[in-house]
Amino acid sequence: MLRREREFNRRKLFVILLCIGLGVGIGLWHNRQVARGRSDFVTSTVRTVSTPFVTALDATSRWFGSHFGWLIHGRSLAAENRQLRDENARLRAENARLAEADITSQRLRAQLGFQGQPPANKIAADILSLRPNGNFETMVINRGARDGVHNNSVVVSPKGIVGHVYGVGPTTADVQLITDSAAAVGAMVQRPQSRAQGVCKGNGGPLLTMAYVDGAADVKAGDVIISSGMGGAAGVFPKGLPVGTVVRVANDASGSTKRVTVRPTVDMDRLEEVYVLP
Amino acid sequence: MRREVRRLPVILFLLAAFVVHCALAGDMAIRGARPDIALTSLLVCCLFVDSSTGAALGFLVGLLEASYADQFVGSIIVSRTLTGMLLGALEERVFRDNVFMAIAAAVLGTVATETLFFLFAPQPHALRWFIRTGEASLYNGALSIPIYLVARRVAFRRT
Repeated sequence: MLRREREFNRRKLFVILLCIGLGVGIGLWHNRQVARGRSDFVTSTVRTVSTPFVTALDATSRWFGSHFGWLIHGRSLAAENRQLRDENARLRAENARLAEADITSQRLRAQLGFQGQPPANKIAADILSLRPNGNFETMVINRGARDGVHNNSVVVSPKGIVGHVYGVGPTTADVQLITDSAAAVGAMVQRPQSRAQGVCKGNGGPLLTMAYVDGAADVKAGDVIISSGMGGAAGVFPKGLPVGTVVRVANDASGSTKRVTVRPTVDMDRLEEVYVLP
Repeated sequence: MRREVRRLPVILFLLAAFVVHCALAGDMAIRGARPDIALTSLLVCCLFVDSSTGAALGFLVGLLEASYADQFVGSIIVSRTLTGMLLGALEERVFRDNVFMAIAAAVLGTVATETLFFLFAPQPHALRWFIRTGEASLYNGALSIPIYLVARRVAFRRT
Protein backbone atom coordinates (compact mmCIF):
# COMPACT_ATOMS: atom_id res chain seq x y z
CA MET A 1 0.00 0.00 0.00
CA LEU A 2 2.77 2.40 1.03
CA ARG A 3 4.79 1.40 -2.03
CA ARG A 4 1.87 2.03 -4.33
CA GLU A 5 1.32 5.45 -2.74
CA ARG A 6 4.98 6.29 -3.15
CA GLU A 7 4.86 5.28 -6.81
CA PHE A 8 1.72 7.40 -7.26
CA ASN A 9 3.47 10.43 -5.74
CA ARG A 10 6.50 9.81 -7.94
CA ARG A 11 4.27 9.77 -11.02
CA LYS A 12 2.65 13.03 -9.91
CA LEU A 13 6.05 14.63 -9.44
CA PHE A 14 7.12 13.42 -12.88
CA VAL A 15 4.07 15.00 -14.54
CA ILE A 16 4.63 18.32 -12.71
CA LEU A 17 8.32 18.46 -13.60
CA LEU A 18 7.53 17.47 -17.19
CA CYS A 19 5.02 20.33 -17.53
CA ILE A 20 7.46 22.86 -16.05
CA GLY A 21 10.31 21.53 -18.18
CA LEU A 22 8.19 21.68 -21.33
CA GLY A 23 7.13 25.23 -20.47
CA VAL A 24 10.74 26.35 -20.04
CA GLY A 25 11.76 24.46 -23.19
CA ILE A 26 9.01 26.00 -25.33
CA GLY A 27 9.87 29.45 -23.97
CA LEU A 28 13.57 29.06 -24.83
CA TRP A 29 12.74 27.64 -28.27
CA HIS A 30 10.36 30.54 -28.93
CA ASN A 31 13.02 33.13 -27.98
CA ARG A 32 15.58 31.41 -30.20
CA GLN A 33 13.22 31.34 -33.18
CA VAL A 34 12.24 34.98 -32.68
CA ALA A 35 15.93 35.97 -32.50
CA ARG A 36 16.42 34.23 -35.85
CA GLY A 37 13.43 36.06 -37.31
CA ARG A 38 11.39 32.88 -37.68
CA SER A 39 7.99 32.02 -36.29
CA ASP A 40 7.84 29.46 -33.51
CA PHE A 41 6.24 26.23 -34.72
CA VAL A 42 4.56 25.30 -31.42
CA THR A 43 2.79 28.57 -30.62
CA SER A 44 1.95 29.34 -34.25
CA THR A 45 0.35 25.89 -34.65
CA VAL A 46 -1.72 26.39 -31.49
CA ARG A 47 -2.85 29.76 -32.80
CA THR A 48 -3.60 28.51 -36.31
CA VAL A 49 -5.79 25.76 -34.89
CA SER A 50 -7.67 28.04 -32.48
CA THR A 51 -8.06 31.04 -34.81
CA PRO A 52 -11.16 29.77 -36.73
CA PHE A 53 -13.04 29.25 -33.45
CA VAL A 54 -12.08 32.69 -32.14
CA THR A 55 -13.01 34.28 -35.49
CA ALA A 56 -16.40 32.54 -35.52
CA LEU A 57 -17.25 33.63 -31.96
CA ASP A 58 -16.00 37.15 -32.61
CA ALA A 59 -18.13 37.39 -35.78
CA THR A 60 -21.18 36.08 -33.91
CA SER A 61 -20.68 38.60 -31.12
CA ARG A 62 -20.28 41.42 -33.66
CA TRP A 63 -23.44 40.33 -35.46
CA PHE A 64 -25.40 40.44 -32.20
CA GLY A 65 -23.78 43.77 -31.33
CA SER A 66 -24.71 45.31 -34.68
CA HIS A 67 -28.27 43.96 -34.66
CA PHE A 68 -29.22 44.28 -31.01
CA GLY A 69 -26.67 46.79 -29.67
CA TRP A 70 -29.25 49.57 -30.07
CA LEU A 71 -31.27 47.93 -27.29
CA ILE A 72 -28.48 48.89 -24.89
CA HIS A 73 -27.00 51.97 -26.54
CA GLY A 74 -30.18 53.48 -28.06
CA ARG A 75 -30.07 56.95 -26.46
CA SER A 76 -26.33 57.41 -26.66
CA LEU A 77 -26.40 56.33 -30.32
CA ALA A 78 -28.83 59.12 -31.24
CA ALA A 79 -26.59 61.72 -29.57
CA GLU A 80 -23.49 60.22 -31.17
CA ASN A 81 -25.24 60.27 -34.56
CA ARG A 82 -25.98 63.99 -34.21
CA GLN A 83 -22.40 64.69 -33.18
CA LEU A 84 -21.04 62.67 -36.10
CA ARG A 85 -23.24 64.56 -38.60
CA ASP A 86 -21.83 67.87 -37.34
CA GLU A 87 -18.31 66.51 -37.44
CA ASN A 88 -18.88 65.14 -40.95
CA ALA A 89 -19.99 68.55 -42.23
CA ARG A 90 -16.95 70.21 -40.65
CA LEU A 91 -14.57 67.56 -42.02
CA ARG A 92 -16.01 67.87 -45.56
CA ALA A 93 -15.20 71.55 -45.55
CA GLU A 94 -11.73 70.89 -44.14
CA ASN A 95 -11.14 68.12 -46.66
CA ALA A 96 -11.84 70.43 -49.57
CA ARG A 97 -9.38 72.97 -48.16
CA LEU A 98 -6.71 70.29 -47.56
CA ALA A 99 -7.16 68.81 -51.05
CA GLU A 100 -6.36 72.20 -52.48
CA ALA A 101 -3.34 72.53 -50.16
CA ASP A 102 -2.15 69.06 -51.18
CA ILE A 103 -2.24 69.96 -54.86
CA THR A 104 -0.20 73.08 -54.16
CA SER A 105 2.23 71.12 -51.98
CA GLN A 106 2.76 68.46 -54.65
CA ARG A 107 3.35 71.10 -57.30
CA LEU A 108 5.94 72.88 -55.12
CA ARG A 109 7.66 69.60 -54.14
CA ALA A 110 7.91 68.65 -57.81
CA GLN A 111 9.46 72.03 -58.59
CA LEU A 112 12.00 71.56 -55.76
CA GLY A 113 12.87 68.02 -56.86
CA PHE A 114 11.50 66.17 -53.77
CA GLN A 115 10.40 62.58 -54.24
CA GLY A 116 6.70 62.01 -53.72
CA GLN A 117 5.50 59.94 -50.77
CA PRO A 118 4.88 56.28 -51.67
CA PRO A 119 1.19 55.46 -52.11
CA ALA A 120 -0.38 54.12 -48.92
CA ASN A 121 -1.29 50.52 -49.69
CA LYS A 122 -3.56 49.57 -46.83
CA ILE A 123 -4.57 46.07 -45.83
CA ALA A 124 -7.86 46.02 -43.91
CA ALA A 125 -7.81 43.68 -40.92
CA ASP A 126 -10.26 42.55 -38.27
CA ILE A 127 -9.22 42.26 -34.65
CA LEU A 128 -9.23 38.63 -33.58
CA SER A 129 -8.40 39.30 -29.98
CA LEU A 130 -7.83 42.56 -28.15
CA ARG A 131 -5.40 42.20 -25.25
CA PRO A 132 -5.41 38.36 -25.18
CA ASN A 133 -3.13 38.66 -22.18
CA GLY A 134 -4.45 41.39 -19.90
CA ASN A 135 -0.95 42.39 -18.87
CA PHE A 136 0.14 43.59 -22.29
CA GLU A 137 -1.36 46.19 -24.59
CA THR A 138 -1.37 43.92 -27.62
CA MET A 139 -3.85 42.49 -30.06
CA VAL A 140 -4.07 39.81 -32.71
CA ILE A 141 -5.34 40.62 -36.21
CA ASN A 142 -6.58 38.28 -38.94
CA ARG A 143 -3.91 39.16 -41.50
CA GLY A 144 -0.47 37.60 -41.68
CA ALA A 145 2.51 36.88 -43.89
CA ARG A 146 0.25 35.51 -46.65
CA ASP A 147 -1.42 38.93 -46.91
CA GLY A 148 1.86 40.83 -47.06
CA VAL A 149 2.11 41.76 -43.39
CA HIS A 150 5.61 41.65 -41.93
CA ASN A 151 7.43 42.59 -38.75
CA ASN A 152 7.32 46.34 -38.01
CA SER A 153 4.37 46.91 -40.35
CA VAL A 154 2.47 49.94 -39.07
CA VAL A 155 -1.13 49.47 -37.94
CA VAL A 156 -3.50 52.42 -38.08
CA SER A 157 -7.18 53.17 -37.73
CA PRO A 158 -9.02 56.01 -39.47
CA LYS A 159 -8.28 58.13 -36.38
CA GLY A 160 -4.53 57.56 -36.14
CA ILE A 161 -1.72 55.24 -35.09
CA VAL A 162 -2.69 52.01 -33.36
CA GLY A 163 0.69 50.25 -33.12
CA HIS A 164 3.10 48.07 -35.03
CA VAL A 165 3.42 44.39 -35.85
CA TYR A 166 5.93 42.48 -33.73
CA GLY A 167 5.10 38.89 -34.66
CA VAL A 168 3.75 37.39 -37.86
CA GLY A 169 2.15 34.02 -38.50
CA PRO A 170 0.82 32.79 -41.84
CA THR A 171 -2.70 34.11 -41.27
CA THR A 172 -2.42 36.24 -38.14
CA ALA A 173 -0.16 38.94 -36.75
CA ASP A 174 0.59 40.30 -33.28
CA VAL A 175 0.30 44.03 -32.86
CA GLN A 176 1.90 46.00 -30.04
CA LEU A 177 -0.39 48.96 -29.26
CA ILE A 178 1.26 52.34 -28.71
CA THR A 179 -0.11 52.25 -25.14
CA ASP A 180 2.01 49.20 -24.27
CA SER A 181 4.73 49.86 -21.72
CA ALA A 182 7.40 48.75 -24.21
CA ALA A 183 6.08 50.87 -27.10
CA ALA A 184 7.55 54.17 -28.30
CA VAL A 185 6.76 56.48 -31.21
CA GLY A 186 8.94 59.32 -32.47
CA ALA A 187 6.54 62.26 -32.21
CA MET A 188 6.22 65.98 -32.74
CA VAL A 189 3.75 68.78 -32.15
CA GLN A 190 1.77 69.46 -35.33
CA ARG A 191 1.31 73.21 -34.67
CA PRO A 192 3.57 75.07 -37.13
CA GLN A 193 4.72 77.55 -34.45
CA SER A 194 5.99 74.73 -32.22
CA ARG A 195 7.08 71.53 -34.07
CA ALA A 196 8.64 70.39 -30.75
CA GLN A 197 9.92 66.82 -30.96
CA GLY A 198 10.03 63.97 -28.48
CA VAL A 199 9.20 60.30 -28.03
CA CYS A 200 5.70 59.17 -27.04
CA LYS A 201 5.94 56.18 -24.72
CA GLY A 202 3.16 53.94 -23.48
CA ASN A 203 2.90 52.88 -19.86
CA GLY A 204 0.22 50.22 -19.99
CA GLY A 205 -2.50 52.77 -19.21
CA PRO A 206 -4.80 54.80 -21.45
CA LEU A 207 -2.41 57.78 -21.73
CA LEU A 208 1.02 58.25 -23.30
CA THR A 209 3.99 60.20 -21.99
CA MET A 210 5.95 62.32 -24.45
CA ALA A 211 9.53 62.34 -23.21
CA TYR A 212 12.73 64.12 -24.28
CA VAL A 213 10.86 67.34 -25.07
CA ASP A 214 13.11 70.39 -24.75
CA GLY A 215 12.38 72.47 -21.63
CA ALA A 216 12.04 75.62 -23.73
CA ALA A 217 9.72 74.00 -26.29
CA ASP A 218 6.32 75.57 -26.91
CA VAL A 219 3.83 72.83 -26.02
CA LYS A 220 0.31 73.50 -24.76
CA ALA A 221 -2.66 71.40 -23.70
CA GLY A 222 -4.79 70.71 -26.78
CA ASP A 223 -1.84 70.52 -29.18
CA VAL A 224 -2.10 67.70 -31.71
CA ILE A 225 0.81 65.24 -31.70
CA ILE A 226 1.80 63.45 -34.90
CA SER A 227 4.50 60.90 -35.66
CA SER A 228 7.84 62.46 -36.60
CA GLY A 229 9.20 59.47 -38.51
CA MET A 230 12.36 59.67 -36.41
CA GLY A 231 13.98 57.34 -33.89
CA GLY A 232 15.31 53.78 -33.77
CA ALA A 233 12.61 51.21 -33.15
CA ALA A 234 10.16 54.10 -33.05
CA GLY A 235 11.18 54.97 -36.61
CA VAL A 236 8.89 52.27 -38.01
CA PHE A 237 6.11 54.88 -38.01
CA PRO A 238 6.05 57.16 -41.05
CA LYS A 239 5.85 60.89 -40.51
CA GLY A 240 2.54 62.68 -40.14
CA LEU A 241 0.23 60.07 -38.62
CA PRO A 242 -1.94 61.37 -35.75
CA VAL A 243 -0.76 60.07 -32.37
CA GLY A 244 -2.79 62.01 -29.81
CA THR A 245 -3.66 65.28 -28.12
CA VAL A 246 -1.74 66.94 -25.29
CA VAL A 247 -3.68 66.88 -22.03
CA ARG A 248 -1.01 68.05 -19.56
CA VAL A 249 2.43 69.67 -19.68
CA ALA A 250 4.87 69.78 -16.77
CA ASN A 251 8.51 70.75 -16.43
CA ASP A 252 10.84 68.24 -14.80
CA ALA A 253 12.74 69.17 -11.62
CA SER A 254 15.78 70.55 -13.47
CA GLY A 255 13.64 72.42 -16.02
CA SER A 256 15.73 71.04 -18.90
CA THR A 257 12.96 68.88 -20.31
CA LYS A 258 9.19 68.87 -20.35
CA ARG A 259 7.00 65.96 -19.44
CA VAL A 260 3.98 65.93 -21.73
CA THR A 261 0.96 63.71 -21.18
CA VAL A 262 -0.84 62.72 -24.36
CA ARG A 263 -4.23 61.12 -24.91
CA PRO A 264 -4.11 58.83 -27.98
CA THR A 265 -6.48 59.79 -30.79
CA VAL A 266 -7.46 56.14 -31.08
CA ASP A 267 -9.59 54.72 -28.28
CA MET A 268 -8.01 51.27 -28.00
CA ASP A 269 -11.02 49.88 -26.13
CA ARG A 270 -13.32 50.68 -29.07
CA LEU A 271 -11.19 49.41 -31.90
CA GLU A 272 -13.12 47.34 -34.41
CA GLU A 273 -11.11 47.26 -37.60
CA VAL A 274 -7.66 48.45 -38.46
CA TYR A 275 -5.44 48.91 -41.50
CA VAL A 276 -1.94 47.58 -41.92
CA LEU A 277 0.60 49.63 -43.89
CA PRO A 278 2.90 46.89 -45.18
CA MET B 1 -20.68 11.32 -2.29
CA ARG B 2 -17.55 12.31 -4.18
CA ARG B 3 -16.82 13.87 -7.51
CA GLU B 4 -15.21 12.02 -10.35
CA VAL B 5 -13.29 14.26 -12.69
CA ARG B 6 -14.04 13.77 -16.38
CA ARG B 7 -10.79 14.91 -17.98
CA LEU B 8 -11.89 15.33 -21.58
CA PRO B 9 -14.83 17.64 -20.72
CA VAL B 10 -12.48 19.63 -18.44
CA ILE B 11 -10.03 20.11 -21.32
CA LEU B 12 -12.84 21.02 -23.74
CA PHE B 13 -14.25 23.42 -21.13
CA LEU B 14 -10.88 25.16 -20.81
CA LEU B 15 -10.48 25.33 -24.60
CA ALA B 16 -13.95 26.88 -24.89
CA ALA B 17 -13.11 29.32 -22.08
CA PHE B 18 -9.97 30.34 -23.93
CA VAL B 19 -11.88 30.96 -27.18
CA VAL B 20 -14.47 33.03 -25.28
CA HIS B 21 -11.64 34.93 -23.58
CA CYS B 22 -9.93 35.77 -26.89
CA ALA B 23 -13.10 36.84 -28.63
CA LEU B 24 -14.94 38.67 -25.86
CA ALA B 25 -12.66 39.67 -22.96
CA GLY B 26 -11.60 42.86 -24.74
CA ASP B 27 -15.26 43.97 -24.88
CA MET B 28 -15.85 43.13 -21.22
CA ALA B 29 -13.54 45.79 -19.80
CA ILE B 30 -15.09 47.85 -17.01
CA ARG B 31 -13.26 51.11 -16.29
CA GLY B 32 -10.02 49.62 -17.56
CA ALA B 33 -10.34 46.38 -15.56
CA ARG B 34 -10.23 43.34 -17.80
CA PRO B 35 -11.07 39.76 -16.91
CA ASP B 36 -8.97 36.72 -17.74
CA ILE B 37 -11.67 34.17 -18.48
CA ALA B 38 -9.22 31.40 -19.39
CA LEU B 39 -7.21 31.84 -16.18
CA THR B 40 -10.35 32.02 -14.03
CA SER B 41 -11.67 28.82 -15.60
CA LEU B 42 -8.33 27.14 -14.95
CA LEU B 43 -8.32 28.22 -11.31
CA VAL B 44 -11.87 26.99 -10.78
CA CYS B 45 -11.20 23.63 -12.47
CA CYS B 46 -8.00 23.13 -10.48
CA LEU B 47 -10.07 23.12 -7.30
CA PHE B 48 -11.37 19.71 -8.26
CA VAL B 49 -8.22 17.96 -9.44
CA ASP B 50 -4.94 16.80 -7.93
CA SER B 51 -1.64 18.66 -8.21
CA SER B 52 -0.32 16.86 -11.30
CA THR B 53 -3.58 17.28 -13.22
CA GLY B 54 -3.66 20.91 -12.08
CA ALA B 55 -0.14 21.37 -13.45
CA ALA B 56 -1.11 19.74 -16.75
CA LEU B 57 -4.23 21.94 -17.09
CA GLY B 58 -2.12 24.98 -16.18
CA PHE B 59 0.35 24.02 -18.88
CA LEU B 60 -2.48 23.75 -21.42
CA VAL B 61 -3.97 27.17 -20.57
CA GLY B 62 -0.49 28.70 -20.37
CA LEU B 63 0.37 27.39 -23.83
CA LEU B 64 -2.89 28.74 -25.26
CA GLU B 65 -2.44 32.17 -23.67
CA ALA B 66 1.24 32.32 -24.62
CA SER B 67 0.45 31.50 -28.24
CA TYR B 68 -1.70 34.64 -28.45
CA ALA B 69 0.63 36.84 -26.41
CA ASP B 70 3.66 35.70 -28.47
CA GLN B 71 6.07 37.15 -25.92
CA PHE B 72 7.33 35.90 -22.53
CA VAL B 73 6.07 32.50 -23.65
CA GLY B 74 7.97 30.42 -21.08
CA SER B 75 7.05 32.71 -18.20
CA ILE B 76 3.35 32.60 -19.07
CA ILE B 77 3.32 28.79 -19.35
CA VAL B 78 5.33 28.14 -16.18
CA SER B 79 3.38 30.65 -14.06
CA ARG B 80 0.07 28.97 -15.03
CA THR B 81 1.55 25.51 -14.52
CA LEU B 82 2.76 26.36 -11.01
CA THR B 83 -0.54 27.99 -10.01
CA GLY B 84 -2.47 24.98 -11.32
CA MET B 85 -0.20 22.69 -9.33
CA LEU B 86 -0.58 24.79 -6.14
CA LEU B 87 -4.37 24.84 -6.38
CA GLY B 88 -4.43 21.15 -7.21
CA ALA B 89 -2.32 20.50 -4.11
CA LEU B 90 -5.19 21.82 -2.01
CA GLU B 91 -6.97 18.56 -2.81
CA GLU B 92 -8.26 16.92 0.38
CA ARG B 93 -6.97 19.85 2.43
CA VAL B 94 -9.91 22.20 2.02
CA PHE B 95 -13.62 21.80 1.40
CA ARG B 96 -13.84 22.79 -2.24
CA ASP B 97 -17.44 22.13 -3.16
CA ASN B 98 -18.34 25.68 -2.35
CA VAL B 99 -18.74 28.75 -4.51
CA PHE B 100 -16.87 30.88 -1.96
CA MET B 101 -13.81 28.70 -2.41
CA ALA B 102 -14.05 29.33 -6.16
CA ILE B 103 -14.12 33.10 -5.55
CA ALA B 104 -11.15 32.88 -3.18
CA ALA B 105 -9.26 30.65 -5.62
CA ALA B 106 -9.90 33.06 -8.50
CA VAL B 107 -8.83 36.17 -6.55
CA LEU B 108 -5.77 34.66 -4.84
CA GLY B 109 -4.90 32.48 -7.83
CA THR B 110 -4.84 35.51 -10.15
CA VAL B 111 -2.57 37.38 -7.73
CA ALA B 112 -0.31 34.32 -7.38
CA THR B 113 -0.13 33.78 -11.16
CA GLU B 114 0.67 37.40 -11.92
CA THR B 115 3.20 37.60 -9.09
CA LEU B 116 4.96 34.48 -10.39
CA PHE B 117 4.91 35.92 -13.89
CA PHE B 118 6.33 39.20 -12.61
CA LEU B 119 9.13 37.33 -10.85
CA PHE B 120 10.00 35.41 -14.03
CA ALA B 121 9.67 38.40 -16.34
CA PRO B 122 9.87 41.74 -14.47
CA GLN B 123 7.94 44.43 -16.31
CA PRO B 124 8.39 48.21 -16.43
CA HIS B 125 5.82 50.37 -14.61
CA ALA B 126 5.51 47.96 -11.69
CA LEU B 127 2.89 50.06 -9.87
CA ARG B 128 0.53 50.05 -12.84
CA TRP B 129 1.20 46.33 -13.20
CA PHE B 130 0.07 45.64 -9.64
CA ILE B 131 -2.96 47.92 -9.91
CA ARG B 132 -3.99 46.04 -13.05
CA THR B 133 -3.43 42.71 -11.30
CA GLY B 134 -5.62 43.87 -8.41
CA GLU B 135 -8.41 44.94 -10.77
CA ALA B 136 -8.17 41.72 -12.76
CA SER B 137 -8.23 39.58 -9.61
CA LEU B 138 -11.44 41.25 -8.39
CA TYR B 139 -13.04 40.92 -11.82
CA ASN B 140 -11.96 37.28 -12.03
CA GLY B 141 -13.37 36.73 -8.54
CA ALA B 142 -16.79 37.97 -9.66
CA LEU B 143 -16.55 35.96 -12.87
CA SER B 144 -15.66 32.78 -10.99
CA ILE B 145 -19.25 32.40 -9.74
CA PRO B 146 -20.89 31.67 -13.13
CA ILE B 147 -17.78 29.78 -14.27
CA TYR B 148 -17.91 27.61 -11.16
CA LEU B 149 -21.59 26.82 -11.72
CA VAL B 150 -20.98 25.88 -15.36
CA ALA B 151 -17.76 23.95 -14.67
CA ARG B 152 -19.41 21.92 -11.93
CA ARG B 153 -22.16 20.78 -14.30
CA VAL B 154 -20.05 20.25 -17.39
CA ALA B 155 -16.89 18.71 -16.10
CA PHE B 156 -17.65 16.77 -12.97
CA ARG B 157 -19.81 13.76 -12.30
CA ARG B 158 -21.14 12.89 -8.86
CA THR B 159 -20.58 9.22 -8.04
